[in-house]
Amino acid sequence: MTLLFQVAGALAAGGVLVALARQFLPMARGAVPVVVAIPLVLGAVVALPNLQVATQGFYEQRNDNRRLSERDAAVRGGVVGGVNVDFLEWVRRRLESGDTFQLLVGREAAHPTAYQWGTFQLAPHLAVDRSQEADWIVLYDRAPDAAYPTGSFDRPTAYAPRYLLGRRRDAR
Amino acid sequence: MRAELGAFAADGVLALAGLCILWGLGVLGRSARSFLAALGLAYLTGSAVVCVALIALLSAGAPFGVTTFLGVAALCVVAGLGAGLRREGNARPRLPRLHLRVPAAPRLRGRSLGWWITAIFVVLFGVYALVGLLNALLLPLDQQDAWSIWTRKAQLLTVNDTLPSEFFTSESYAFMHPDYPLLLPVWEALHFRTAGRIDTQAVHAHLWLLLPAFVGAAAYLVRDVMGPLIWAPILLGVGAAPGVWQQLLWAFADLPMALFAGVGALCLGLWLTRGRGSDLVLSGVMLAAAASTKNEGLMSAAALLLVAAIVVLATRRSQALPFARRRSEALPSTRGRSQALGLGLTALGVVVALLPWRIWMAAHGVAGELPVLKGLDPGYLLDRTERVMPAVRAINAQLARQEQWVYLVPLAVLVAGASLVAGVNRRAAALYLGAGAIMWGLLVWAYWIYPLDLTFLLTTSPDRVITGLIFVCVAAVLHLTGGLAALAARTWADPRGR
Repeated sequence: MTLLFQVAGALAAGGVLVALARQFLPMARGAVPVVVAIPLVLGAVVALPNLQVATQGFYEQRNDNRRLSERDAAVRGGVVGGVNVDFLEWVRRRLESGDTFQLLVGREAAHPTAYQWGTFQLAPHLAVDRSQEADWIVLYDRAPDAAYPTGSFDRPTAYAPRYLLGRRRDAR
Repeated sequence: MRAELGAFAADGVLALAGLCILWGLGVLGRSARSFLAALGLAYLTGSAVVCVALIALLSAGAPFGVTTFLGVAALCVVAGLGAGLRREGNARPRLPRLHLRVPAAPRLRGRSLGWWITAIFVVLFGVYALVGLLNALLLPLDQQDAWSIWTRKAQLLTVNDTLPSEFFTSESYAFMHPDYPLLLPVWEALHFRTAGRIDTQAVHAHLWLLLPAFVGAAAYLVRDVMGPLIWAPILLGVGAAPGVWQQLLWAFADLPMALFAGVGALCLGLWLTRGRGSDLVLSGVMLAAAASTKNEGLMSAAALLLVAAIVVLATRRSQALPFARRRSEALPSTRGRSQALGLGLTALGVVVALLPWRIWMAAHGVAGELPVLKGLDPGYLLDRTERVMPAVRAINAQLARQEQWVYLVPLAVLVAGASLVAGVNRRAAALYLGAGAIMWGLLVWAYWIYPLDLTFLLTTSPDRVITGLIFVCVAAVLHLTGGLAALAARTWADPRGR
């Protein structure tokens, strides 16, 4: 509804301008084109304050971001999503080139964000669906339960309680 | 620093490829000033052509890397120069001679109003763009869709030389929409590769360059039909619109898609007005890029090409139809036929550009998320009618956020209506109005048929999916305001209409 009224408002403004032009300007051939004044004036009126606000905002934001280290910037997306990025970094340092992993996220964690960020931070290592295809199992905010294949994986190493990493037994 | 220079060198290569294509199309003059003025359009053109070609090569199994990128760019350079030389009828190949002169200190006295307006525009927008660029260089990648979908794919394309099918087909990565088009990941990946590392901060700076490129491209395209008094305030308003710069710095694909769609719409509108073949070719290139960036871009391209076809056919068949009331806008039947043929070839080109990725998806069992065939089934649609009104309300609410979109939709309706009434640029006005309406309808239809929960969709996406429509409105406001201003000037000069 708001949009309809905005469109109606623009058409009404155009109508008023055309009526004024017909009244006061020598335009026998039609005064409709005078509506161009509306986008031009509006463009100028909104552009200058928006430019100033945006430019100042960029300047201040840059000053804030200068304090971020390269590493902090690289994991900022995870930090914003409340993900334990330090644990994932700890995992990443243990994975070897070409290793795959299965990421099991606990129900208490913000599941989609933690899972998605985890697979992003651990890239280019490939996440897999099944433990049979994985070189590692990453337990994120989760205790090793029945889902953890104790037969084929080592006992998981703990980074912290509920943050663990298990390696396939026959992995080289 | 070296990495950043490498990535900016990639931007230079894209701009060079684009410049040569533009020269081949006859869009460039021979002066250095012309080359400089066309840099924005060249950057967008180079990005579009090179990335669409790289997607085709990747889909065909060719290795992706800096060498392939440089090879494709070199082909664009050679093809552009070859076409340019042939167009100019040179018997012996000669590089274009640039009239390079060291510019003298600017003389301020005696400059025209247009010169002053351009100068003020360049200073204001230049400061904004430069501060924005310096800020973008340090922005962390913290928006979820950016790292979860787009940069994730770019990262994979940086470390893999081919499309990793196990990544696109794995259930583990189903959340990152494997069917989404690849232009943005390919574009980001070629920056990462030329930089020699995955820099998720600096990627914002390259994305930021698309905004001044769009503004420069739009100004360059309309330079013959309006003066800076018209384009400068409009483009300044668009360039500084919060919805535009905020979304661009999110590093999602929506805004880059919208920028391509906007230039494509403008070129198509200009082609309907002045009939230059180069405008039509450029519209095809830009619409192919938009459709290769996001599925909403495909909707924009389909809507624009469909309405353009209707306009061309309507004006060919009858001069009595509303679009053709002015004699200047009615087409002789032979020209109408050639326009219809040209448009058909352009549409075919867009389809061909999209095919490789679609074929790769089909061959690897990657299914699209939008159930298009079901969406044409009345039974399926009737079962989900409760989704329609919430979708309409959500889309309209976003289009009405004028603190973000600076009244572009109401202004587009105003100038399109005024153009139809005043009888100026009627075909272009019909294009923008018709395509805008169809795009709006397609967005509602997409929400109607999409299999995901509507509440989730409406809380996460309407602000982004409308950007293509917004940039068709940008094209309408810019193009049609220029036409109306020219008519107003003529009427003012000759009020009795002699």
